[in-house]
Amino acid sequence: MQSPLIETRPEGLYCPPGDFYIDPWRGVERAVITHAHGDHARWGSRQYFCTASGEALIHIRLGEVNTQTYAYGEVFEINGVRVSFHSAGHILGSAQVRLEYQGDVWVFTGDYKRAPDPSCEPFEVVPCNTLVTEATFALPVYNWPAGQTVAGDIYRWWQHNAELGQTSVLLCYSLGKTQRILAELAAFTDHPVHLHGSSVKLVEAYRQAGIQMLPTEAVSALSKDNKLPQGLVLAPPSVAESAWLRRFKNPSVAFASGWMAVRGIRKRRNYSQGFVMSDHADWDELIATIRDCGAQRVLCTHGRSNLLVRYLNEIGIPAAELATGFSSEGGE
Amino acid sequence: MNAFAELFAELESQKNKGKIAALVRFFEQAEPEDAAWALHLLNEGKSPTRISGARMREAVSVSTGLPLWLIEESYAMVGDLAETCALLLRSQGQSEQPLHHWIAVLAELKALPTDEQTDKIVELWRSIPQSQLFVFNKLMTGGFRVGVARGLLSQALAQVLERPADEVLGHLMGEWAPSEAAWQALKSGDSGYQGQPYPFFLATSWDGSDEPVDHFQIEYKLDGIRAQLVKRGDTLTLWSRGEECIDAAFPDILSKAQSIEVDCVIDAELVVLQDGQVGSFNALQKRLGRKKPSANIQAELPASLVVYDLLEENGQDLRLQPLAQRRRRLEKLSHPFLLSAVLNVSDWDEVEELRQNARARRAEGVMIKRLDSPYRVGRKKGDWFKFKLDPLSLDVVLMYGQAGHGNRANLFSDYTLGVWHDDQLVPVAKAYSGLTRSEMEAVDKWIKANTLERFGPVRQVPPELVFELGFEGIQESTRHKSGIAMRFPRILRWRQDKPAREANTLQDAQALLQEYG
Repeated sequence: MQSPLIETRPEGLYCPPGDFYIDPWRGVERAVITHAHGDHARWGSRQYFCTASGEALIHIRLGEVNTQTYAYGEVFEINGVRVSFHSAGHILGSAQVRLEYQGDVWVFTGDYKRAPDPSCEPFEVVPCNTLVTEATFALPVYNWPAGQTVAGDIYRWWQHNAELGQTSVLLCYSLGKTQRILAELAAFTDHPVHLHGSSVKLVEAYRQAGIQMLPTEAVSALSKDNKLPQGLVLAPPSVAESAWLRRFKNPSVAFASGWMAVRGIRKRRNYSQGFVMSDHADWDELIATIRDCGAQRVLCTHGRSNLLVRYLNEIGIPAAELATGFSSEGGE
Repeated sequence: MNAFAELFAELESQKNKGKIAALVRFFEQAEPEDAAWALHLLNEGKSPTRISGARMREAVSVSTGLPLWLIEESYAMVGDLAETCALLLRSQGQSEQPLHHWIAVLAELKALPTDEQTDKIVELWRSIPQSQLFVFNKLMTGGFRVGVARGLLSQALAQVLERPADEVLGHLMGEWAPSEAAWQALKSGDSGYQGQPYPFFLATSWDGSDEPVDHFQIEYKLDGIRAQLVKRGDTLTLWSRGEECIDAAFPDILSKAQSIEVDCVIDAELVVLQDGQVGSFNALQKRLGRKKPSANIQAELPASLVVYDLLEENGQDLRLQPLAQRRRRLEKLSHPFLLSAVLNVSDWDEVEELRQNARARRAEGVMIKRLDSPYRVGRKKGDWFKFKLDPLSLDVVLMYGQAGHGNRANLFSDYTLGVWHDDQLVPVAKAYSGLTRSEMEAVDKWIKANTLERFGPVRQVPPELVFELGFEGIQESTRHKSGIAMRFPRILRWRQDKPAREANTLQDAQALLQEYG
């Protein structure tokens, strides 16, 4: 067997022949970055390699770091390893990383999904020998409904609350989920949506990139007496138990996440409503992707990787776990 | 069944007002037989047909091609078998049939030989729309608990049927067989059945009072089970607090009750007599375990009632009369049972004294009832109070954790707890409750981070966390390794101040057994 193109080191996923890291969790010399979420793009490296469409988000998250950007599919070399980015369909500018060295091809998926999302580029199947895949939602109980269907549910929930004079507060991650919801909802209305401060700049960056979304306004720009009785507010999950929620009119609080697929979790978190919307691959997408890319071997990172590994081995696809420092909540 | 599936979802996501609105909408639009079945399911909390979990797992495996171990892992994550199956299936089904149709289909399924059930389930799952699978599977697993209190249900029905909530509730008590005719009877207010009990009035915990003690009636809180005896004409029947008809389990009580001449409804404590006195709960438990007791058991452990309230006499509903008046009528009533003694006290200190000595009287505390109180419905604060003994307690060590079900899915919240015997821990109890949510989440995190070994869904942890375990009683047991079984064990608090080696020992537990067993 050829020597690995990706292995785990204390600093992160490392490519030995290329002497660079992918999404390292500590500062390193050369960091190839799949996307701008906090557990993948971390501060402290000297040189960042990223996609052209993801660069702006990385600058918002990490400040003025030294980036070198490439278009999807554009091949560049680091110490003789041919590297290219391929769309992962996770958030704007998100990428899988293809590595080619002495005829061997590895692909690291980063975080990805296959379902259509109007706020980012669609997933691309990249043939390879070894696939290093995420496994955040690697259980067959995860089976996402279509984004448009869920957006319709969100829209009706918002309208229902508005009739009762209650603010709709939808908890969702500031980067990715927020913009996807704004883009999906554009099919139903042109009403403005209000934003928690954490997503304002990020939404602006998406707009600059040409993503069509509902008009938005920052909650902080409103007068204190405007309790938004008919409004929809998008805010990060961290505000769930905070005093900030009290500025709204009898708010109805819901959460949009893949975790909301399970009723027990929905009930435990005590949200009035859970919307099942994820930017990660569900079980069927994971299995389809593994088959589509034709990999002879699969390495699984974060989440329920031990179960996926056991299943793949049983159906005749050699697989193993690869320990990583990525969040098992997968930014959801 | 779509309307019922939607109702179920709304009952889970809405607050009380929304729940009532959803119920009203449903009952107004449902065809009578579906309305009857929905009412039955929501009221009873269980469906009439139960298909075994093993059969369902097998059918999911056939339907999806997934191995059984992966189905088990999925179940461990989701914590509800009906939901797990629904999430695993990918149905394209379009069949839209009313609720009562599916209930009939499930009865047919249950009647099939077990080896034919799996294929039939697979076939049914293919025809039912994905959005209705969860509710359908709930019908199959039997358990149907949903967050709708009986009070809400009766309020909604009162609106739909345009009749007083209390009266509607009365009709629902007892064994109400769902059918189109039963729904129509409920609508017209004529159910034809004579044996309904009244909804039980439940006491709340005592937290003291500035009022003089002579505003209250003080009785021992007996350690039996609550029961209502209903005699109306030729109908004579006995109900437990769970509104289960328990005639078959207690023929000795019914045969005694034959001697009552007037029509009446009596509220009482069901106990076992030992030497003519109220026996222990342990003795009663031996009777409770038998659905049809033999003559021998009846002779050895005769069941009886200790009566304490009269709710109806000669067809007259007495519940709105003050307790003092009901008590006078009860004392005059001729019946073959013991009468709950009214305890004479001159001040609250004496009440406290009675409470502390209650265990010696086979009681679990005292009842404090306002003399002018009506007999209310359900657990209402302000008129009836229970003042219970402090529970027995031991400091115990966490040995194993297991994920819970329902809203504790994927949360390690079920604990196996042990005491020291030499240098080993011996399990003495399993406990599921008592911690605050944030404590429970902290323990969950700790268990996940400190797992030594996994046995399926159970995780072994190092002996580090100490909890104060409270329980109502303790008895010898040959079924438990420790030789001890506790009654109603629950965690009183997390002893973060206490190192594990200072927790109690098996000897300490045995000493309690000697004293109170």
